[in-house]
Amino acid sequence: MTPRELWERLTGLRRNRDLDREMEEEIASHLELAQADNLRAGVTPEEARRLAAVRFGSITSAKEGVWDQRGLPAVSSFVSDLRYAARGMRKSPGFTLVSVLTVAMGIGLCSAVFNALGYFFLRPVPGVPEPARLASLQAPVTYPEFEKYRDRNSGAFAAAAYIGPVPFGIAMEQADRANGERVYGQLVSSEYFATLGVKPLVGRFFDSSLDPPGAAPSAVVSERFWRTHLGADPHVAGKTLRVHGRRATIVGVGPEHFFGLFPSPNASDIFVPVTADSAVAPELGDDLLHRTANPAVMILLRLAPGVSVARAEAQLDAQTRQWRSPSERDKKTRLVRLINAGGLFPIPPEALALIVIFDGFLATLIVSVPAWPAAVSDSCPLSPSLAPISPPR
Amino acid sequence: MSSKLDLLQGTLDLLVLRTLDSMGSLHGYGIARRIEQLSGDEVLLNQGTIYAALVRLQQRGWIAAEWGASDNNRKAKYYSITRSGRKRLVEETSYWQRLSAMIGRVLAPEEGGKK
Repeated sequence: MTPRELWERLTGLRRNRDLDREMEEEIASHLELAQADNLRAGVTPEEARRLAAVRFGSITSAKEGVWDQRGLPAVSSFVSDLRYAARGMRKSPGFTLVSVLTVAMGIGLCSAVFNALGYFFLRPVPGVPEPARLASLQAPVTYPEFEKYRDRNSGAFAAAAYIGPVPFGIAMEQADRANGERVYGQLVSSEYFATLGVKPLVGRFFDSSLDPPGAAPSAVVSERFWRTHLGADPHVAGKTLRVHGRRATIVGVGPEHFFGLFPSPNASDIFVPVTADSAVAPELGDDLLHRTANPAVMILLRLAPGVSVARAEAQLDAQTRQWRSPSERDKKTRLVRLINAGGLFPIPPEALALIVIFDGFLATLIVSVPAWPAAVSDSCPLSPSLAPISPPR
Repeated sequence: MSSKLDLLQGTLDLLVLRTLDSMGSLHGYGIARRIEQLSGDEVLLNQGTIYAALVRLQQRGWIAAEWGASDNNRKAKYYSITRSGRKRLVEETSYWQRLSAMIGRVLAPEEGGKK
């Protein structure tokens, strides 16, 4: 089909009424001319008319030939399918209403659920710059392993260790001991805040020289906790509160909207160094910093620009094989898996892929709605071509 | 076998172009009659089928149409071949001749006859 013919056919879909009248006239003129010819040959007027009609053949099929030629048959029959569906729907309004409502509610529900899911799954962690470059090890490791990861990969990523969110029993100094409350927080290594890239609103964050193992317990609180429990005191640094009954010094306040890594379902309002005494947090017991069994430390990574999650994962996996037991070393599967840590909570990449596929499926469903009437009409027992239907005009 | 010849797909277009090329401007009935006459009434043609071909040829720009009056003052739509229609006719004619010559050769009785 030449471009010109395509154009003519496309426009032929539209201005059909005038062309149809013209064709009627042309056919009438044809029959008249034929009749006059036949009369000159010396037959009766009736015979002349009959002969003209016989020679012409079926007027309907002549018209159909022209219609097929003029428009795009596929489009024309699609349009007549739509018309047929519309007539069928008008004939049984009750059924139509129920079908439309069912489909509408189905789509509405799906969209609502997906919107809510998408909000939770795809929303970045609040208060943290460049969350896309954050990654986390899927499984916990021991603290000595963390130190190896941290010290051997400074070019590829910055690493920090954390545990939690874990519940703390917090009481203010002035208040009655019995009024202690349960507050979620994280136990973090001194690299934690720098790796996340957050800056303190008040005071400072942890520092390995200022918060060495065995030092008096210190704590960082969230901006929310600072407002709700400490009266937004700008001189809060150096004041104390009680963590599990032990006095801890507040050294700083986190930035606004910051609730730690993976703030859902438990937002972190207090941060305590992993070097703190186990009396402040039972999770730190059993010599956490030195033991090489019972891995309990999570690792946060901030990948250097240009370093992909896959590359960091491969690098960590190769290193881990060097010090793990021979039986583990021979495993074909990855010993270390990384997940994206820039979201509200940890999502394995497989789950994320499922969400994206579901998203695509839903979008297809919604986009295809205009085609449904045609599908409905095709499944009707009476096919459009059999139905008493006028050709497209 | 029927006494009249069925037209092969696409050959009606060629016949219409050829008719308009030799006869100048002509209406649909005239084209149909002319083809019937030239073919010695051998072609099986419902005259009505010519109109789809006329629309097709117009779409491709090979013929043009305008309304006029016939010899005995009846209103009729007159078709005439365009420049690109003439070019097309030359191509189609040579293609048809090659094709029919080839078919002729293939179907010709073998030389020397059968044993």
